[in-house]
Amino acid sequence: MKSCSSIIYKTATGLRINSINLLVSIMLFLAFAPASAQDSYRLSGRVVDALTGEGLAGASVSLQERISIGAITETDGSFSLTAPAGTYTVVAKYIGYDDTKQVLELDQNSQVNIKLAPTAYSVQEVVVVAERQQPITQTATLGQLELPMETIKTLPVLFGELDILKTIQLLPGVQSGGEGNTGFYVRGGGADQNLVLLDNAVVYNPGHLLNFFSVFNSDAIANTTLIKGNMPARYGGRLSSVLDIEMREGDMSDFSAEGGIGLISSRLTVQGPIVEDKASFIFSGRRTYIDAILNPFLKNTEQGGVPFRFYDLNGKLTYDLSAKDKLSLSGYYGRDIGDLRLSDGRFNSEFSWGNATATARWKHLFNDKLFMDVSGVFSNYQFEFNWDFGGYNTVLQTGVEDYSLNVDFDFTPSVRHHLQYGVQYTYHTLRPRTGEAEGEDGETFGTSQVLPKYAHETAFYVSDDWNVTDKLLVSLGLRSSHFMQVGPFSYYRFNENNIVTDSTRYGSGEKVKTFQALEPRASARYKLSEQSSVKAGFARSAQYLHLVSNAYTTLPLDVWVPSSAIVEPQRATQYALGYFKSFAENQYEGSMEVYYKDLENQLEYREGFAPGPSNRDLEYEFVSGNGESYGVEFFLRKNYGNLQGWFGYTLSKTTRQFPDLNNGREFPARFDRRHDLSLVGSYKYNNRWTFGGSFIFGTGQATTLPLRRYYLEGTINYQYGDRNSFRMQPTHRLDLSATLKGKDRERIESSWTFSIYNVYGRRNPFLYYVDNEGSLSNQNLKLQAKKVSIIPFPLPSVTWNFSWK
Amino acid sequence: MNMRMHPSIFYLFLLLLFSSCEEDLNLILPEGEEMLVVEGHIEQGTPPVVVLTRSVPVFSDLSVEALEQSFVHDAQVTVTSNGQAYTLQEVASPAFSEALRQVVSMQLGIPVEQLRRNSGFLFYVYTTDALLGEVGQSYGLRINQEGRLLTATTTIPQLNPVDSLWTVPHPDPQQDSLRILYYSYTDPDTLGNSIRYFTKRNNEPFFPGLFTSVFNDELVNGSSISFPLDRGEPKGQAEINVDLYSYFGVGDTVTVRWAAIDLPHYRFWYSLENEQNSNGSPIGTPNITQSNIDGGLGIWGGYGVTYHTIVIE
Repeated sequence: MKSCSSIIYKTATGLRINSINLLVSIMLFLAFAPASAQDSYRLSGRVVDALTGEGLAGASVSLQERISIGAITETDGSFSLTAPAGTYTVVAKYIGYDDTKQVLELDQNSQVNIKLAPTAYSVQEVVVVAERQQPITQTATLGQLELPMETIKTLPVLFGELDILKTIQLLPGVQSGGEGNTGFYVRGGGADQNLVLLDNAVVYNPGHLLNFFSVFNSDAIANTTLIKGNMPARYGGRLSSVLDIEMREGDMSDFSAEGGIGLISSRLTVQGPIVEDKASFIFSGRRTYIDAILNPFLKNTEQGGVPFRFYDLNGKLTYDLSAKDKLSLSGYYGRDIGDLRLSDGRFNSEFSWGNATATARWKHLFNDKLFMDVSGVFSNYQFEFNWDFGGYNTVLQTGVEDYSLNVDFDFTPSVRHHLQYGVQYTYHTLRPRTGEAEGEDGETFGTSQVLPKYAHETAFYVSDDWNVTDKLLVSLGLRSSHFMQVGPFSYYRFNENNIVTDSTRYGSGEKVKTFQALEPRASARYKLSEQSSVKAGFARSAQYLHLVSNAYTTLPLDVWVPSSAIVEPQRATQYALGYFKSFAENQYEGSMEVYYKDLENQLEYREGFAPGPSNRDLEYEFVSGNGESYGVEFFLRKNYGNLQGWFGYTLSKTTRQFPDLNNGREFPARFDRRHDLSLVGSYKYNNRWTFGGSFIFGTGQATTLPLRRYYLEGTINYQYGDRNSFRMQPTHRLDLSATLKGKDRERIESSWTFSIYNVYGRRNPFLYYVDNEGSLSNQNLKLQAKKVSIIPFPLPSVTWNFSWK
Repeated sequence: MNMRMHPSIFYLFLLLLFSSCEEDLNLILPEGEEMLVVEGHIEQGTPPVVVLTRSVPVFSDLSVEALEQSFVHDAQVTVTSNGQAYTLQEVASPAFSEALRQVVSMQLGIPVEQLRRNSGFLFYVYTTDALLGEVGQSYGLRINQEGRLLTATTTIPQLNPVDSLWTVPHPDPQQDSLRILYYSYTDPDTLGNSIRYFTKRNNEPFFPGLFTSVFNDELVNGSSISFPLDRGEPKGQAEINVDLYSYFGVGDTVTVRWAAIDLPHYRFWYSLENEQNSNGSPIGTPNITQSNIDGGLGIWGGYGVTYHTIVIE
């Protein structure tokens, strides 16, 4: 135990996590007391693909004789578990692969490498949703779901574009941001309260084209995990959820390529070894050609169309330095690009927006009990819109840039304890929405008082999964987060005419404002039987970066702002309680969770705010208030067999209360949805045909409508009712798909996916408004309530996918 | 001033990318709470004019009779200036003097003919002969009606005239009958100067800029700028002719009404126009018009007006 501590200490000295170590040591001491009587040994090793030698991430390794002991493999296929001395049957399972069992004697710390052979069917066509996780009755975490890519691939999708963000919207507790939209809202939280991570890098705007598509190219993604609120202590900085996405690693032994050609985009992925069994690469690209498809809708432009496109590039290099060290370098770069020229030639513009991320990672196994993961991360989001009009060239831009360093440890001192601790640091640069216009004579006008903001965000965390008894598993965590806004910064005070009355100037690096929060996280699982358990959870969290949107959907122009001298952090407390059961030999698993979430210092735009050019930080337009959300979520999933799928239902209520909005009265949040139901299934008819379908139903969205009207300058204006007091029609939709696998050939596999979005052409409301035409003076006034739908017709698509080895 | 309109063009483009569909709905809405609506202005050399109406349920009768019933009568309306209070009297349109008719028509966008005795249309304003607006003065408005109290303040700012007007040809040489109107303007070196503009072609009435009729100097304070000025058009048209939008024709006599306004007055029109431009757009940013009336809706706004005329050649 002491030696472990000293290793941790040496590694961490430069990172000043001594205090964490102290905590760890104390916890270890406490932990060891009851367990020290028993001799336990460590079993570690790797689960690999028998054909390629590639590590299999997320495979389960368990001991048949001790059902409570098991492990899930890391990204590189490595695992470790601790068990009392004895003879065990080690069972390894992985989706699309045959299970293996091997018997071994555990009388000392041992290593074992397990090779899994793919099942007869190709991975892509596998419809078995094998248990990558331990059965849900086993873990302590509440509201955590993992979606293997194979499940996602059999489901119907809009335009044939696989999209993990749309698939997670089918899970209970997750509300979609509207028709065809990748935006999501978790348990009453705002759109900015989801932590979206791609290989540890925060993705600030995960949507292309107004969020109709996510930036995640499904071919480049290995695993997706969603945590709805009771997040472990290692995650922080957002209140409502974590969506942790891991990029795939390249094949260590063979070259291969795969791709697809779809209606609006094509994809290509190539991968292979750089040094056999040592180093590999994978590169993925995706590019749209929607410009060609959409041009008929765009008559009024010079080219008779808009060259709008988006693309994504993903890449990852992996290097197994030794049995204990693994290096990887991964990155993402994506852009939405277009230009727009009005037909008379007076207005010319170009715009682009997108994310770029890079992650350098070193995973090191010190010994069979201690694992370290160090990553250096870069993340950038940039929006730019540039136009010429009336003799001025104007540039509008906004963005975020992060540099982060994370050091995470995973320590299993005994059978009963699993600790995670570490430190995370990020330097943020937040570029607010700025504009500058330059005239022909070189004169410039701009938002000279709107300047970037800088901040340091640091967090220390420690958590312990403690098997108190065979039945009781307690997970205790504590996260301590710190946020410091630093200069250069000028804090302006304005009078009612927006004239600066006073300002405080801070020099570069000078402290402007600090915030900190202690974020306790706790959950517990009590097994009622091998098949059922109850879990309870509590989590406090703080959020230091905010994005406030007042449009119907978040827009690429929306601005991330930090907590600062102007804006306080958002905070949340969540309580959850759940009952979990698996039956028919784990073929089915079901759960019921209730949650209550209290949200503090939520942000909205003030009443009457209209976006426009301003020489003041946007934060001055915010008002703050509180929120509350509670609900019950039911989930039933069938995991094996030719027919698989799930049913999810959420009954919930989400409200907000702001002193300065809605006359101080409580109002429903925009994504308050009383009922939210989804039914998802896939059926493997034979070796060639697989059918998929999904059906959703949700209570109508809350909206604000005019109740009365009046005239001004002879035209109609509205007096609105209470905020979000009206409900639109419910949303429901059926999507279907069929996948036809091509005939088996030696090196090439292919498949066709046909899908129909909105099979029965439901006109789901996107927004309601009251249209008015005419004027008083012409005595031709007309008023009509209208419903706007985005994709009100069945939309078929076809995609051809291939893979080559 | 030129940075404001083009994000909306950007959104327009994004909207076009997805062909959304609209259908009529029958909505049953609660009646809501009746509020008093002020449409009141004062400009230099003219009397204050206040129209007081009540808001009505959104789908209620649109007839002229219903409009007439929405006028609020017998309210106590006073305007205070320099510590002196002036009581405004209610006047019906048949009793308007010719001068008042012109002022009401200009300020409220009602054709003069509809304010004449025989138009079959009754219009009511509160006004007084005892007070004429002066540049640089502040005016308080106070309205008492059956226990409801509405208050507001506005100013007639110092005049901020246009330096000059000129035209440039349409970028397409084939469109040789169309011209773009440019203005140049020098902003005073104090922050908060705002302008509302209207244009008039030949014998047409003045129309404010259709999507954007107000400017503010927040980003151009103290500078000289020149920029195109879109032709004002009537609101509520079923369809806008995009080929002609913003252009003036060769031979037109064009008058620009260039009104200096104070910041709350600017914010009212700015937020109102944003609300109107966003209405029904899936990528709009809905907002509620920012009235400067305490206890009611609408606007009490001063105009410091200059007129500029150019014959388009």
